[in-house]
Amino acid sequence: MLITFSPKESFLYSINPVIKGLITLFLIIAFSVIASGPVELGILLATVVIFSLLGRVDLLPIIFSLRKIFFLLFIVGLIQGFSQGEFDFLLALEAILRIVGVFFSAGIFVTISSQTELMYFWEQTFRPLALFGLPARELALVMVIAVRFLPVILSEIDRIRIAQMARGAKLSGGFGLSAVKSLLPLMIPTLSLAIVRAGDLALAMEARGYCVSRSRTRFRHYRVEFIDLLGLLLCLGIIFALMKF
Amino acid sequence: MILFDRVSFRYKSNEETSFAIREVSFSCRQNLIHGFIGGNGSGKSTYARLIAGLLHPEAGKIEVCGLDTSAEDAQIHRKVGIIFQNPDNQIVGTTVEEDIAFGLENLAIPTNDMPEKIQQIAEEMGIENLLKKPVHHLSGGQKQLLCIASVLVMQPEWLIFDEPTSHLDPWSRRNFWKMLEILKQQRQVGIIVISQVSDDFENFDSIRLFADGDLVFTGSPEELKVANMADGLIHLPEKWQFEKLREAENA
Repeated sequence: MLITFSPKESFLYSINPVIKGLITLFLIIAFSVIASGPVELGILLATVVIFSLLGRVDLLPIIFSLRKIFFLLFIVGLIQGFSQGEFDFLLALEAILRIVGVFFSAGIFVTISSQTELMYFWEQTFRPLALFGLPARELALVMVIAVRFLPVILSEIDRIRIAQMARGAKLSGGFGLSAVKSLLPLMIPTLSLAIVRAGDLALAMEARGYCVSRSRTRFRHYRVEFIDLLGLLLCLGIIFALMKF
Repeated sequence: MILFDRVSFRYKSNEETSFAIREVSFSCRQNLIHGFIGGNGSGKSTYARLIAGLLHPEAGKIEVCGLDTSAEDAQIHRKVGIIFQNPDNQIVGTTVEEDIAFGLENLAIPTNDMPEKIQQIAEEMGIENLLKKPVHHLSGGQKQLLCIASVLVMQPEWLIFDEPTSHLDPWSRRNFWKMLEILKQQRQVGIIVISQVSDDFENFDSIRLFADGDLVFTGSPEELKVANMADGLIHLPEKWQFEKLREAENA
């Protein structure tokens, strides 16, 4: 189960992409540095979850994907728990909640933003770079294509894994260097396939008239409306209320 | 009309390989389905890329609808649409409508005109109910239809299909050929199909056989059937081989 955009009709989905990005950024900052203590972090996480459910966001893929960072959460929890000598459960929980909060915020942003919206967001983010002569729109497209190809590459990895296992490759087991070595039969074909795909995609884009230097129009235009500003203010309000709390 | 006038080409990165196109000349008329056939490494796909303006000849001239492919890249991309073998490697958008819009954005079509064009082409290809669907939820056949729609929306005069039937089952293959006939008749486009599937040969109006970069045969499927020289270069359809055997028996 992957965290990908799945279109739905709701207020969260209709928010301006830049505002969506800003809200996500504020939430990440809030989870990382502003909120302190498991209670504050818990309230913030619960608020994010409630708003997501009201906005018809499918949280299952995000919860499912948490399994992939379970080891990281466990290690961080242990390190933080033992940071002051004896194991402190609340400190461990706080550290874990911070990571889960950041993970949820980023996951929800990806779930409610289409590729075009992401591209628009990245483009606006990279806009200041254009002052230094850097191609903002192209950089944004690179980011977006990386997101678009993630499910394709992951299914490719799965296919290669089965093929390599059928040929007797041991892809699991061992620790440290031996674990990394055992993944080599998977990494090399995946990397070479990704390079081939990138070449093919570049060719297909060129054939469809894409050119870095040429001006393009936009399928969608995004305006900042009252509801967008309201969403941003609500987010900031919740964060400030938590700070007071 | 596509015109190859003494065209030479060689891949710069593969100078050690024998593959090269040397002073090849031929032409393709519009409103026909042209088959480019040949074995692996025969140069079929290279010819397609030369026509689409994705590669440029070292010497000679390629003209598509009167435009020089080396000089007028942007115009050529508008005139020639190419659909590659693997749909996953050419879909740029996350949803069906976004992918169709990609070509329109590149052509700088005004935003207000886009939805109508997208709806129109989606209806033509029978994917109008998939417009909002994420592309990774589409089946293989639906992805192929999306790739065709994404190219057709740019209203090209030529369509190139790079080995479109090699991944299709016999039923889908039959539907694909029906669709090409409709496209040819309704849109008045020239179609080039690159193929090494012998069962496809009968569907072509005209065939060009390539071997090691050279054009070794030009003619109709009927002419290819009787030309024995093709036997060693490509596998002929079972049906043709059976007919030849029966004729030999009767003789």
